[in-house]
Amino acid sequence: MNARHRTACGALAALVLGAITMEPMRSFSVLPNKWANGTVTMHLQLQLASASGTLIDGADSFNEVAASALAAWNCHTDLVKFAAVDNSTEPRVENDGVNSVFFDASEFGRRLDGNTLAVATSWYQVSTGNKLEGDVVFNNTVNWNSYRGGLRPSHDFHRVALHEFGHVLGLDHPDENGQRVTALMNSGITHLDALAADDIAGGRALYGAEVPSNIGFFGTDSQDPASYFGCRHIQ
Amino acid sequence: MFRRLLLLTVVGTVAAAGVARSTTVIPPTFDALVSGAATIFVGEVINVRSDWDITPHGRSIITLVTFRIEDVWKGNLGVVTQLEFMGGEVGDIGMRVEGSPAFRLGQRDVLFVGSTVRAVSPLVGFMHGRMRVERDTLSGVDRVRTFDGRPLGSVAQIGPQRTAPSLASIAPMRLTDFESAVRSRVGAARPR
Repeated sequence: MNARHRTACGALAALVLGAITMEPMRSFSVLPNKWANGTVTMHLQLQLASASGTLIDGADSFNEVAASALAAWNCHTDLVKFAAVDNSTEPRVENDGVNSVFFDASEFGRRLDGNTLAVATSWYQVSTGNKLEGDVVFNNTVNWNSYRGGLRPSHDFHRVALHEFGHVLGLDHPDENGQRVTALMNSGITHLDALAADDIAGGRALYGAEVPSNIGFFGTDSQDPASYFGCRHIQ
Repeated sequence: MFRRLLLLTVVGTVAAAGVARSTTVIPPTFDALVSGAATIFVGEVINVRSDWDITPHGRSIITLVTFRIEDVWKGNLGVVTQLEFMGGEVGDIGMRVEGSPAFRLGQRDVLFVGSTVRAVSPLVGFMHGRMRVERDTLSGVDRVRTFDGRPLGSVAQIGPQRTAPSLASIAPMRLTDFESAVRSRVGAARPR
């Protein structure tokens, strides 16, 4: 190997090592479509026949948990806000302009396998890129509860709902887009039980009013109602 | 030496650019992937077509992906096969199932097909039943990546414990080695 080759090899090695070790240039990841500014109304139909009594985190119903997950996102967006219709009676129909959230063993008639906990679908206008509808189906054949902290044998509905509603807003999985960040929007289910800074930055990038958020959401303290059901201002 | 470093650069760049979308799915283990599949094949995408699908649940969009079969590792298939995925674009309307794989003409994949009967995804484990095949331009060797473009170093990396891209997994396994592992598992599961 001559000197020129050695120099080229050194430069390439530095490039490879640099690419592997450096921090990502940006965080979060967004999907191609987003909502026009305004209110996105989610119709909650999360009555689960197998569930009875209070959930581990104290919530009385999965509708209540879903509403709290929507509220958590609302803490960090300005231009688009979720609204929730509790126990909606809207028919579960695709492409009807109604944003449905419900339990089922199928996604509008198409079977979900046992590994699929939830599916989010989006309808959009190709020419404008605007979202028209966002539905979320939670698989009713798996064991659900709602809790904070480490993972338990039952699946935590709250963190999965936060994740799926992040998709409804227009966020993608950072870890599947070359990023290594702490985020609830990463593809795997982990002990992370609340929105992380990267998730919030993603929500604000999509729907922030270009002012820094002074709102924090603390989802890990289930004993503090303010932390669970809403936002509180960072002092 | 120079070629090896160039290869590493290319591989690293591709790994960093992996793209995929996802819903919430527990990744199946390698054994579950193989045993849950009715057919496993290597195929090249030769046609992608989206259309409306009218059902009692409303109007949906489906995408039919046609593969030219290169090799069948489990089950029986002809020269071509077609898989149906939810989502796609028709005219000015688009529907996306977050996590549903997107296919482009000419792509080569190993597909673990669980069900072709009106499932959200015909693949085992939604998107996890797709392994992408990429030919190393320097050596001509076919290598395997996961659905989202991460290098698959070994079949032990398949499953819930899968991790973010790292230096340790920078060399994707050869397609021939992956085939051996799959065929071995298929053979082991076959009733005697």
